[in-house]
Amino acid sequence: MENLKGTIFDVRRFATHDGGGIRTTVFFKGCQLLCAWCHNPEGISTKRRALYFDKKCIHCGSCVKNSKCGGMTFQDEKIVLDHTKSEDWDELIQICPTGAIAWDSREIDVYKLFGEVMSDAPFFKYDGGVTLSGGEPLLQPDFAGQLLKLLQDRGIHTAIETALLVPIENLKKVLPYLNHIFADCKIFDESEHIRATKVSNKLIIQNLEYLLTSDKKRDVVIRTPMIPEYTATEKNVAEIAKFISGIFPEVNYEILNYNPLALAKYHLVGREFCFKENPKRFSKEQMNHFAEIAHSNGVRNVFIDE
Amino acid sequence: MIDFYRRDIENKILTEDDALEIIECIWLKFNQIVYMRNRNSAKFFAGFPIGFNIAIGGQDADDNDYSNEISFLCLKAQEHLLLPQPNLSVRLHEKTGDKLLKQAIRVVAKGSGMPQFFNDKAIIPALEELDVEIKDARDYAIVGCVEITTQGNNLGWSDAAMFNLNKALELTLNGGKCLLTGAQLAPNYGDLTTYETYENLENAFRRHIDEFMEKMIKACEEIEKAHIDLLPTPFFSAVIDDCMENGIDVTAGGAKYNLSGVQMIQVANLADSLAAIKKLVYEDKIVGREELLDALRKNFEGHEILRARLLNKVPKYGNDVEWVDSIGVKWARYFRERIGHYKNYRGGRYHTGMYTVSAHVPMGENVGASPDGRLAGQPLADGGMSPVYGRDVTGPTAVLKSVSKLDKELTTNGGLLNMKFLPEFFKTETGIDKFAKFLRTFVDLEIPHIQFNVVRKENLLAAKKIPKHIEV
Ligand code: SF4
Repeated sequence: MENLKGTIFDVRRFATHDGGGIRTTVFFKGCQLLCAWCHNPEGISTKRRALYFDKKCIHCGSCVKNSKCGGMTFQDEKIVLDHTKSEDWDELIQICPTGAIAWDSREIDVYKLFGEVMSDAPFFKYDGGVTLSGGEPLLQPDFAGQLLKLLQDRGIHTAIETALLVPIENLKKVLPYLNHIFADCKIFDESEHIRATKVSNKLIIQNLEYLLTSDKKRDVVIRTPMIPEYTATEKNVAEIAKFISGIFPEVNYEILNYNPLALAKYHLVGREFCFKENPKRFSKEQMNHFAEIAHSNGVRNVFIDE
Repeated sequence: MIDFYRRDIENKILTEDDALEIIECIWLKFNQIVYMRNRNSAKFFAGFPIGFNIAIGGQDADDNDYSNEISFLCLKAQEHLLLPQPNLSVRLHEKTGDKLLKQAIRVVAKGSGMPQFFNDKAIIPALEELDVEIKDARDYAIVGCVEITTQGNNLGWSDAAMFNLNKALELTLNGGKCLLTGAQLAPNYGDLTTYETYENLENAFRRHIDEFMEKMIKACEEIEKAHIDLLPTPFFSAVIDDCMENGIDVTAGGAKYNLSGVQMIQVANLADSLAAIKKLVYEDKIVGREELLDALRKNFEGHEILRARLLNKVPKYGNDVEWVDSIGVKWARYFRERIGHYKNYRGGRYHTGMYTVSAHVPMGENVGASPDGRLAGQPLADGGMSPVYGRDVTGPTAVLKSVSKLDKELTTNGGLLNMKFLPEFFKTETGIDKFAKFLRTFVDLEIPHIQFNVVRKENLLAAKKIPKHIEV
């Protein structure tokens, strides 16, 4: 087997939210949606870049002293990192004594990554396994597929979280090696989708159809994250529900509550967050109401996250 | 006890609630007895309780689970009272039922730190290695906090000594001189600046361990002799198997088993220190030997960048990094092997444990700045097998993997692993279920012990301010 390389930004052990049992989640770098509310903004760009973590920094100035192109500077007593400068970032990362400068992601070959995720194999025995997330794992289909195959050959349960904005071939390459698929369907209306994510949802809709008519359709969970003003409207939930239940009435559909944690990461990647004031989570009643709408539009299996 | 319980329930002499009340009464009684320790001893074993230990669950002769109605009543009593005594222990094994396991987890979630969990899969075979008969090994009990003993036939002497491996390393690095007082505590076999290779350093370290072990054994013998002369315990001897038959007091070696347990303190700091030296000084050569020794002597004053590097640029024990964890394992094995050559004064074996109760604080006070970036006098890692607090950044599964590399035979006298979880984790049934799976893997990994603090930082800080008014 070829030793493929891929780009990932995190391997998180003891992930207890993405699927059954105790899991390890691999976060793939790169995503083609630009959701205004993105939770993993560091995963969007496919390019590797250096990051600066204020909390770890002891302001020793070693980086500034060794910076040759102005990538690290002192500004008003604060350390500032400019990732657009063509520094020898590896050297600066090595010089920094605290780990306050680090790459946001790493390139890794598939066998090495396989070895890394297998560290928790003793825990996978009890309904656990490995989840691919991101970013968008299906943007690196050969790499993802090979990793999943290695895992399945060892009897490890595999799952994916995908936004499905990829050519259908990518999906076809990976699907045979998956036990479980969490597929996002954020917004059904195309123009609304473009407003929120800057891209059309044509490919997503096509891929959803493919998934829900494939022999894995029972292992699929369609998910809609409830984002105030964007996805959390009665109209949107009704349209999604009608569409997916029209293809497969026993489809599993999950409505995810808003997670206000995302804001914390934004300053790291220099992006603007879509809300001035971070909204609160929806109440149980509100969530039940959305579930009821999905139900009355044909979905028999609706779930709300805890 | 279960036979009495069942007969009384059947004959309608007792209801389940009556039984619970009786159990809770004795639980309260356990908390009334306070053991006044002197100042020094109180530092090492902080917290007043004596350490009544009650174990539930565990496996019988056919490997089936031993739990019964009373096991559940014990858990319920703990859930109601949430007091520090007794030390309620659940013995886990492969056939522990989901019901007992999950009920125990629900009680852990209440935050009293109890019950703690012991692992039959680790402890029973490890006791056999120690020449304990299988029937006695299967019937093991726990003394005090985490010390393992057979029942009714043993003088375990489980607190024979605590051996500060980190002090031995300090003397190795500083030519036998104490970093805190400058006193020459051991021979000068060289110092960090004279060890040309990491192996040289290891050889000197080995010599220091050997010599202090010799001294420790002599001290233990004197104490045992003094007990025989000054403090024989005829009443105790009368209830310990073989003493009457042999006509020998338990302090003089009358019991069936005559063990002495020595604690190895603390493998986490030791692994972190040696890993830092190995990588930064000898392999990458980023840090000079003179520079590091100077920094240690000055408690890192003026060496803040070096200290940051030691803390951040070398992986730490507890993150499932093979080469780092194996340094800890290597020295624990060495110590265990070495002490196995000695016999105690009663003719029994020395063996080892890894627990400190609160001794990691005073034992840290006695150690100068260390190459893991720890400042002079600061506490060592807590527990005994736990990573240094805050340094386990790869999550709880990685901690278990690291700890599992310590062979079960290293902790026949008791091992202690502390972990901390937030109460939120236990709020849902999914959370409880995942925690149960976590503990099932703990059993598979043959780790002897684990216990949990389930608290929020904010509550602890608030409790510090107004001790009376806070529900943790
Ligand atoms: S080298 Fe690292 S710790 Fe020092 S100022 Fe730069 S970022 Fe901060």
